[in-house]
Amino acid sequence: MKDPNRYLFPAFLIVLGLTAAAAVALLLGGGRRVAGGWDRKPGEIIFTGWGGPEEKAVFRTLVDEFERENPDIHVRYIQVPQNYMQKLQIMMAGGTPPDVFYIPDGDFPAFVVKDAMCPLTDFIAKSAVIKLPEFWPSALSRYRYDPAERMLGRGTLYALPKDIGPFAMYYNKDLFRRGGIPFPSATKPYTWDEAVTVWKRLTVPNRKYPRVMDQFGIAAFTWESAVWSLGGEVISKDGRRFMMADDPRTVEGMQWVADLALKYHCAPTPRESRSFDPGPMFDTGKLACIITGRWAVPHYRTLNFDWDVAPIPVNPRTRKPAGWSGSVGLGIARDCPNKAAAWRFVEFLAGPRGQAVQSLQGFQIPNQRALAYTDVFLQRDKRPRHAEVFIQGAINQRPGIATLAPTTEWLDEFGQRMTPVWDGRLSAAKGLKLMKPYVQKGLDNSWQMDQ
Amino acid sequence: MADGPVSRRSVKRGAMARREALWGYLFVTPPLLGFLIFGFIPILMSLALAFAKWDMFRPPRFAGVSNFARIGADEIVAKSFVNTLVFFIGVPIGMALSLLLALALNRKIRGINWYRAIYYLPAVSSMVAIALLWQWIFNPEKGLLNMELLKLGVKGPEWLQDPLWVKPALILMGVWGGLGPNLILFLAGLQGVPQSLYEAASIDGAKPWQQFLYVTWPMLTPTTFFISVMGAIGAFQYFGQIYIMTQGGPEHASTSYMFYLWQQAFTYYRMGYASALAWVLGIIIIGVTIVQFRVANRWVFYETV
Repeated sequence: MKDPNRYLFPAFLIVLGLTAAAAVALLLGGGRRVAGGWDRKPGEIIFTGWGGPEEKAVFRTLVDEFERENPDIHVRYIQVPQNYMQKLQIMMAGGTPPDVFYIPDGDFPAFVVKDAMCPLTDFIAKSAVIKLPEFWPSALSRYRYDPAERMLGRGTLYALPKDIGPFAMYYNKDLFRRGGIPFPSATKPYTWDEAVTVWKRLTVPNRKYPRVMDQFGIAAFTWESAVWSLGGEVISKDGRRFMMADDPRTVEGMQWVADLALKYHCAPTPRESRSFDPGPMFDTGKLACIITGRWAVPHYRTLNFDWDVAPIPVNPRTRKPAGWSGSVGLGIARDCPNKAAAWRFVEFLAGPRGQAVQSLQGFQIPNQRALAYTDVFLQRDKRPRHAEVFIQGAINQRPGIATLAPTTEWLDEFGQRMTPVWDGRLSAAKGLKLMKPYVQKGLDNSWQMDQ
Repeated sequence: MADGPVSRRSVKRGAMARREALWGYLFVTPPLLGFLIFGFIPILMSLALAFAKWDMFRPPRFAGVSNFARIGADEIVAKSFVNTLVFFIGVPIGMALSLLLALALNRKIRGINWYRAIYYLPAVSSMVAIALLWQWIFNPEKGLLNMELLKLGVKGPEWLQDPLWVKPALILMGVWGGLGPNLILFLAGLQGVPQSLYEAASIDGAKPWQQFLYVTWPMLTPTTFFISVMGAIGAFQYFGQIYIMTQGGPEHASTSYMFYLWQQAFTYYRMGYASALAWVLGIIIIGVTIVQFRVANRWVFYETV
């Protein structure tokens, strides 16, 4: 006897297959229709950025203001609260890059080396608003790339800084007062020796358990500052060679940072600091000094103790101020169909008007010098009292090391292999020597663009 | 040959079965379509990408088998694979513990639902919250684990920062996190064992442990099999805790295969290579699962009704 149901399953499969094929055709067809971008209204540009509610509000205001002045352009503002870079990567991969977007300086190299950015030279040359000599040079250099030589840090500008966030030593004034220690100068940095003396006095052991510290002098000293203050280098100027193992000044700087915990006992040991973020330690008054970027200011303004900023301590022999600043750039996608409109928006955000509005938030210093010396930035009525420390930082600090090579593969390798040095299991000299071939390989990989 | 009435009844039943089958297909269509479009087609595309170089910015370029050749030469792939195999130790340990707990919780004791809820809690908590909790537990100076060890006069290791201890630490955490779901599965299995079998066994004079050995255990083998297959697949794809807690460090001691794959794709822009890595892992998982099914014929007992 024939079972009428036996055709049912094959028939089901055929129908399903056809439907799936139709859906895929529709998706691919749709993809082709909007290939190279979005379905835009005439004069519309797509702008993506991140940030919390405050930043979103600031940019909403800026967008509205821009649209009022440029009625022919409409900005579609897509604010990505989390996983911004992954979202941006996926937009790029999907062939729908935004027209104007935030690009963190550490991610800029990959984007520019992979030819995803639009050069800004011609626009800047014709602009009445953007005057490059007004900008901090170190804020600009990190957005330069020379495609012919494949060199970062010089050549054509591919983005303008949205901001620059220099580092400074934040200190808890209440803890200094309690220790009877005069406040550090806002203009003359401590030498390392002076700093260690002060930090030691600010390190307080617990009364019951003397091996447990109630309070530390310093945490999160940026090792780059130590290396650079001595005149050492991390990687070569062309970004191709890992230099740390070969330069005795670099080795000395790294050892000094490790010794803050291991030898001078004024910083939390790796055991103590690793699982406890120094940020919260400072917030709760258990840490006297912390070195971090300008972006910490809005949060620190909510703390209920008195604090200020001072320059990062310098090596006693060289007395050379050194550190790094973070930045986010404003870029235009290479495939943007309406580059002129996109540029007008970048020009507005990076120019004096946009910068003034953004600076009021407190998390950045303006990308241009003149503006930084006005009350837009200095904000005398608010903490920190000596905001000009950040201006000094903008002058003498460099772009971070993540901006020196296309990806951070080398830096991840460095971080993996640095553990024994921070622990004191290996000296800096030995540790750096051992890691050198691995980190160099990571650097080579990072420049291997065809992978 | 069937006579009239029987034949009519069977025709009627055939029509009903047909309608039922149609409805069945109708209901499975949406998830199947979803899988085809958002699962199967991307899988096929990743197979194509495995033979290409793609940085997500420019169109993919054909690259032959170079991605696979690269896997062979990549030391960290080998290291991450060994790490992944070490993480496997957690699977049998977790199974044994959850079986013990299930046996303990399969009795009529006071507050039984509370116990069950407590053991299941990790399964419904967010990974980030769990990671934060364990970061505190593993803190070398002030963490729960080393504080307790100190009471016994032992100075505990630096768990997550020590290349030697980071894997045991993650295994411990993984076992803890996996207890709940496995426990629930074992409980369901235990409660599916017909009471009549125990009655028959006790009439035959079986002692409790004999009852476990000859009644409970055989009846639980399908559950055990299911958990071991899913556990193996999960262990191969171990990622979340590493991403949050160690980033593969220190010294690559906790880099799992899946974490390395993710890093290649999303931080180093090597989609082609990551696809090749994914396919190699996929094939290994399929291979291991097939072996598990083959071996299962020898020990898994299915009750025939």
